[in-house]
Amino acid sequence: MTAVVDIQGAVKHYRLPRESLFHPAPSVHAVNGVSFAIARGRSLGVVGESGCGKSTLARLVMALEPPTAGTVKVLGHDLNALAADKLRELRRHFQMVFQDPYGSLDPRHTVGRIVGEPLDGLETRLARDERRARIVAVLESVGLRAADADKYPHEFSGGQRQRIAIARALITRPALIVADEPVSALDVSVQAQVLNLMRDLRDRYGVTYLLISHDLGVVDYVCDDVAVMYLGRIVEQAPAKTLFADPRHPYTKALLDAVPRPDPTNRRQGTVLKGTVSVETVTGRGCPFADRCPRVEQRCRDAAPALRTIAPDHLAACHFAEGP
Amino acid sequence: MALLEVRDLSVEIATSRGTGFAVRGLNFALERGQTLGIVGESGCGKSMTALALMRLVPENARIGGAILFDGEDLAQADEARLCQIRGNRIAMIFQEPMTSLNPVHTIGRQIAEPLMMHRGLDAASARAEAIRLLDRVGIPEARRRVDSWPHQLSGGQRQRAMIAMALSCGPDILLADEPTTALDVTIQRQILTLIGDLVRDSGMSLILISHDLGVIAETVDSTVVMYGGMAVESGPTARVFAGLAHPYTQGLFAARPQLGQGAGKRLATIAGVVPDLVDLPAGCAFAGRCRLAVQACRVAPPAPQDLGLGHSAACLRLDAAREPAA
Repeated sequence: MTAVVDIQGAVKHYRLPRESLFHPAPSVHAVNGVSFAIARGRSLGVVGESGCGKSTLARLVMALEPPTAGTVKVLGHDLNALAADKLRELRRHFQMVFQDPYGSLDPRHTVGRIVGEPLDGLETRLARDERRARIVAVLESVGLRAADADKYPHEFSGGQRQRIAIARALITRPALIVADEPVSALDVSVQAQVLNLMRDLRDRYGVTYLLISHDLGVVDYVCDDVAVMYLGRIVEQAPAKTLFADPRHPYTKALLDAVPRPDPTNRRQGTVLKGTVSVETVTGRGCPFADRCPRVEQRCRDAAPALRTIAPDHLAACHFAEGP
Repeated sequence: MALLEVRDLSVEIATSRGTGFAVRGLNFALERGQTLGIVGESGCGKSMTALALMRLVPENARIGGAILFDGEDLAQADEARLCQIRGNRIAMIFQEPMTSLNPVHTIGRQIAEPLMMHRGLDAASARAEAIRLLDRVGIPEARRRVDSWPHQLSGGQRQRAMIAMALSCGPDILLADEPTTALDVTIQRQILTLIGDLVRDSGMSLILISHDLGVIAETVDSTVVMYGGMAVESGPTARVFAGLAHPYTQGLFAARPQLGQGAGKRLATIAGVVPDLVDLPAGCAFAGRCRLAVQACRVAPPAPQDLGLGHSAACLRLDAAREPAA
């Protein structure tokens, strides 16, 4: 069976403004050689801090940006080799949900028009009542009412708006939904409603998610597999259960350790990760995490560790991943 | 006497749709050197409480009750007196370090300003002090960075610069409103550790406002949980987190996706949405979303019930709430 997403060696550099007449313009290395495949029904979560390239990765998968190098295949089709009309036809199979439920819905359109728009653009024309029936059905599947189709986005709360965004993504019955930080703008109690909805939709319609988030708990709740990104590379990838129980990369460990836990009796005294993520404009030869790593050695600065299998289904890019 | 004592604080905001009750009947006390956390979701009144303490509420807002700071009622103080206190004895750090720093002044100048205003230092010694403060908050090469502009710093460094500015006059109280919400977890950890160290070293008091139960649990001695402008539960942090007396606090906890819990348990949700502050229910603000609400809950807001050792919760159905949810 073809993978829903298959990315090989994806690289994305963004040009920066020229700083000098005599040197080529520098560029930001947002994604630096990422490869993974998502099998149908095995949702992948991508976690990492701001600037690690996770949103760029989402844009590559959605064919919103062409990669600088590498291939991005969705359902077996190379997105950047397809003709524009073929790509448009394919788009009904992969849809996106954005972070900001206020900015991603047009305030001048009714909810019915917003949710129905993918039908007009991506599918063959439907009869009026059939179209209406599809819109009502999808609104009901995300927990909204048929009457909501005639309202405008400002009449809804943040959580309801995110349901509308999910309905819009769901209406073409896609195989893949790319969700970029879908709940980070929501309050905890509302966030739980949206996360439960995402899980129900996965179980009911067999949607596969590529979920981008900085929140490890969110990813753990929705996804089967997790990839941890750092400076445009995947540094560790494993099934969620394995990754959170037995992280092998020092960055994953630091990330897990930094999550505040609501347990005042057990305040952590763990190490605090130094430094910050820098934007990379030149790819060095050593490990990208070397400057912040608590157990860095000379060989980390000399050679970048490759992402390799260290246990079944468990990939890590650290010289010490196999050790204790 | 407590350093800060807030009695029956209310903030009413006049809007085109009527009066919004952002904060209602809030009481708490803060001792010198103690740390207090205020936790709640957006619209619960936590930020408005912080602004009220500094008397920085919007012009259409009215403050009621008493804010006794060292025995002096800030709710009645005039503007000239408040200017002597703001940034000097009570300092504040905000959520978004980019918009709260002035982009057209260097950070050194912004840190030096309160020093020259409140402590009467001359420009040269204020600059030297700014360098010392930047160094204290962990900005590398402080001597060079003192001349940086805000846009040249990363988010975490900007928040460090904000903290340096807040610390400059050695305040009695540091008010931190969501200081790490805009930051990544590893940077959040650095900033919370820094704030914790500074509070311990200088003996100042801290009021930390956050929506994140984890941040509150790890940082403060006592906690106030707010909902619909009121304190629904308060007490020593360890007691609040061990007890979870109020149904809303319980709901907040259960709704949090926890690491390692994975795909197993389904998240418990709190049905419905936060009530509109202009159109608050007559009774308990949480009654509309509460699984335990009875008729009495909808009549009048419940008074706080003492649960011992400083722990209290404002709920009529505490006994029912103590039993595990069906």
